[in-house]
Amino acid sequence: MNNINIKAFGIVAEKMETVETAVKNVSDVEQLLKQLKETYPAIKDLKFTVAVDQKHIHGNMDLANTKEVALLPPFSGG
Amino acid sequence: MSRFDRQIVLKGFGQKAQQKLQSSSVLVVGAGGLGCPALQYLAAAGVGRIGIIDGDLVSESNLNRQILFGESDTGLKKAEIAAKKLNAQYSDLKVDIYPEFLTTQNAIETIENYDIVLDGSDNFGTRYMLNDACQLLKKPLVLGAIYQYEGQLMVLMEGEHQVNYRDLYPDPPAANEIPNCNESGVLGVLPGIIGTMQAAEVIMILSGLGSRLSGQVLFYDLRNYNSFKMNIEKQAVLSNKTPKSIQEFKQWEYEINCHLVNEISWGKALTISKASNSILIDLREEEEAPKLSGHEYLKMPLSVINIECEEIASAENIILFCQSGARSSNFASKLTSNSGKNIYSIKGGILSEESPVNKENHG
Repeated sequence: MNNINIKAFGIVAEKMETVETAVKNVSDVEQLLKQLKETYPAIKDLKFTVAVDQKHIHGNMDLANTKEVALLPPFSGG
Repeated sequence: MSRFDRQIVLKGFGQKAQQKLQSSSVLVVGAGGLGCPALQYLAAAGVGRIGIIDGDLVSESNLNRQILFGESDTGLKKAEIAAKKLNAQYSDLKVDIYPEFLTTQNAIETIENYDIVLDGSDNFGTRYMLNDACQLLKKPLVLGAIYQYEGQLMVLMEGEHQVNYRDLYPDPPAANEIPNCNESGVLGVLPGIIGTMQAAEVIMILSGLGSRLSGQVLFYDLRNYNSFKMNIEKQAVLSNKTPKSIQEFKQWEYEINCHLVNEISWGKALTISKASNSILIDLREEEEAPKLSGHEYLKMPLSVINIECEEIASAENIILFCQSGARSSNFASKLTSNSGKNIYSIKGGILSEESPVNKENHG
């Protein structure tokens, strides 16, 4: 199965305590997020946007041949 | 020779771009960590007219990043000081000052007067409000935001691929889901970098050179210089949670729960409270002690306070205190969002070392 690199930003990275990790054995975005939220319960309730191989996606998507998924939360500070 | 000579001789910029820049206008929302550096470069570049909207006062903890302000400016209005500093540098600069917070009541009329808007605000409520207003008015919006060591930049409602903030983040995060920069800290140079990038985008757009970030979002990490950029895709079905008309916008409720609160010391509070249009309010419950004495104030416990009462309605300056400053700060942010009054919360409350109660005890 493919190995997908996860890039985390902002509060998502802070709660995961890492900016990078990898996930195996997932076929779509929903599965990937479910697995991540089990591994990192602290991100369970966070709102963030997902990018697959640097493409902004809405909803679910097949992850075959995907190299990287980015988790992109909003920032508020100024 | 003019002060713009170096950009007029710049290949790809020139006289034409300079003229466009000088005949255009920008509204900067928030003269804070992002707004200060952005304002300096916008003013230096020769943007024809700059509006500054910010109802906040300068406080000491702003000074690591809000570089238009110095020690002697604390307690003064950011919008006014920023304009004064910029005018001292460039006598020909046209600056419009709005020393108030952006609200659903003033947003449309203010934004309408400008070609483009720069978002240097510091809370989600204002960001969503500004996005929705710009969307309704079809004004380009250059949004910048920071979180600890990371920054975010996007160009919305501009160019061929027009997207808005809700395409990326349909709904605001829950209250307290993401701390604001007051709570989580920031190195001053980060908003310096992001604010300067925002100014660059504004200059590119106004001068006709065009934005390369239009319809995109950029993430930047100060710690390792990593960046991440992507196109923002439109949401096929946007949540039904956005105002569809200006009329609806004006009735919309945005959750502004951030540091719009003016926290002041007891010394300053007691000075302001002497004015005839000022009131000092103890928000604590009846049983809480010690009581303040020797100063004129009203007891309005939070459990029973009526914000529509005559005393609050007729006052211009409302100074709140409680035991430690937490409740008064919270309540002040609620009052501030739409009131048009000066609302203050006394830092540290009655238990602070500076409070008159403690000073009396220490003789």
